[in-house]
Amino acid sequence: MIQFKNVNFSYSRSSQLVLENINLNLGPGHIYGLLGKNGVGKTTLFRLITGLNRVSAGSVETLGAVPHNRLPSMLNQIFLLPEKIHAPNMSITTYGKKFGSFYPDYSESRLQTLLEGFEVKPDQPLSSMSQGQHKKAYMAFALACNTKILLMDEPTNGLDIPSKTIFRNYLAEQNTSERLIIISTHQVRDLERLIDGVIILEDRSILMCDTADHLLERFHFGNITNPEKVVYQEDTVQGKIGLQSRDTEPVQGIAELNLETLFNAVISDKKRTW
Amino acid sequence: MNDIFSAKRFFKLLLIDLQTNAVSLGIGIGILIGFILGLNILTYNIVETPEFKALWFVIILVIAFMLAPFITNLMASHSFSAFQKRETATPLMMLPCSKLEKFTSRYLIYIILLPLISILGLYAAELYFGHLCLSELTEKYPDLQMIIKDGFRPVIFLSLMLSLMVSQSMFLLGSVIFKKSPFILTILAVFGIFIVFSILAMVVPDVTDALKSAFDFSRLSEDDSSLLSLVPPAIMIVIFSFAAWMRFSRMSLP
Repeated sequence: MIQFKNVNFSYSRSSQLVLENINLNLGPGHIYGLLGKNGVGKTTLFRLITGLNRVSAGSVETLGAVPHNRLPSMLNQIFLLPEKIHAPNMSITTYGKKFGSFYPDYSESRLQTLLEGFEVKPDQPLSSMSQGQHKKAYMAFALACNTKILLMDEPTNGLDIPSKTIFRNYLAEQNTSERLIIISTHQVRDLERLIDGVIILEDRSILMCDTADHLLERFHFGNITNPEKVVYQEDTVQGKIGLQSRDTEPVQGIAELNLETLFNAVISDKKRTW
Repeated sequence: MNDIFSAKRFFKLLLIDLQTNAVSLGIGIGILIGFILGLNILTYNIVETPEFKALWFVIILVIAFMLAPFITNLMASHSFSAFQKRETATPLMMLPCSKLEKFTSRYLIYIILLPLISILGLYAAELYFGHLCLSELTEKYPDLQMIIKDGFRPVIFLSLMLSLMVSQSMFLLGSVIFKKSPFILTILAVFGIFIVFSILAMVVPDVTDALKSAFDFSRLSEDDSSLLSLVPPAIMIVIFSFAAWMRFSRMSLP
């Protein structure tokens, strides 16, 4: 669905590269978590996928098309939920009626269900909503569009705790074998049980792109049991926890990904092939 | 699916663009027509002597034809402003319509509809007013009669329309190029180009003479020369519009 080949990107010819030699191949049926420090290029990666910016070198393919051409047949199957969203002076119901018709799988009834779940007033103007309410309304519209690719930039920022739970539930419903969802976030704990793939960006390149299943096959997350196999560890009040190479198969249903530990481990050893 | 241009998608987008810009378009045209009509009615009722009525009519006519481009140009200079700010540009650029549909929708509103409505408004508010109310003066002042009569000639209407479209397409180009203060920066750019051409004309007088003779229609009959005089503005509209399209089609998120 998304393919990057040796992609370089900088905002101008004279400026420093934001992304360098990016190679990525993402298929459907996954919810990926895109992790990285501030300013590392997570949002830029989304812009290249959607064609909002053009690559400086290399090539990108999104749904088999060159994204920068921004053809309607590609745009109607991809939705980008930006971190900061413009609030027009209209209700989300009106917004849905106006813009939803451009998306072939858009569902008005789904929008209303999602709005009800998020406790957003369907007829309140978006411009008069709080930031959290506005984000939930736009998120509901994004999910109601039922696009093949859904990109979300910091979706849980500004959401209250119940809304985060509802968001996770709706997103889990949305995850089908035909759909690819990528969520860029710093709030790793919000998504730990939701994502089944991880992309870690650092120093202009991708340090890790792997599925959760494969990571759990390779590593044990939690208390250190075998110091010889430690890949990364940190001291906590509960003792030493971290990442260690696995010597046995993970126990189904018990093994869990610890994104924060994984991220710290990857960042602390950038030279390792993850 | 037609990825270049679909009439269904285009009209849906045009309707959205018209609704989104309805308030500003309404205010702009309202100010223009209201001002001209108000000034006319006021003058007609206050001024008693026919000489002053005729004079005021001409003064208001001049003001009207200066105010109209100012308002419409100001609006055209912001026609693509939403594409220049990250927050507003993202949903617009992500909307599943082709670049051509997005460009043409705004082009139609700002280059064709807006000049057409404002000129028709001017005709209704100024010339038709003159035609109705000053008919008793026109016999006394043949110049006034000619102004009003001439105004209704199709070639004059077309010429006005094209002149306004030239400046509109120039400011639309400015709106695609300049991220901040597009109105002022377009004026400065035009002024700059004018100075460069003036210097060029002084340095290379042969080129200036060649240009002058190319656009000299005096040797033709009046009707032919009037029609031919529409060619240069039409060429300018095409050049500005094409430049705006080229720039827009290569636009990235700011």
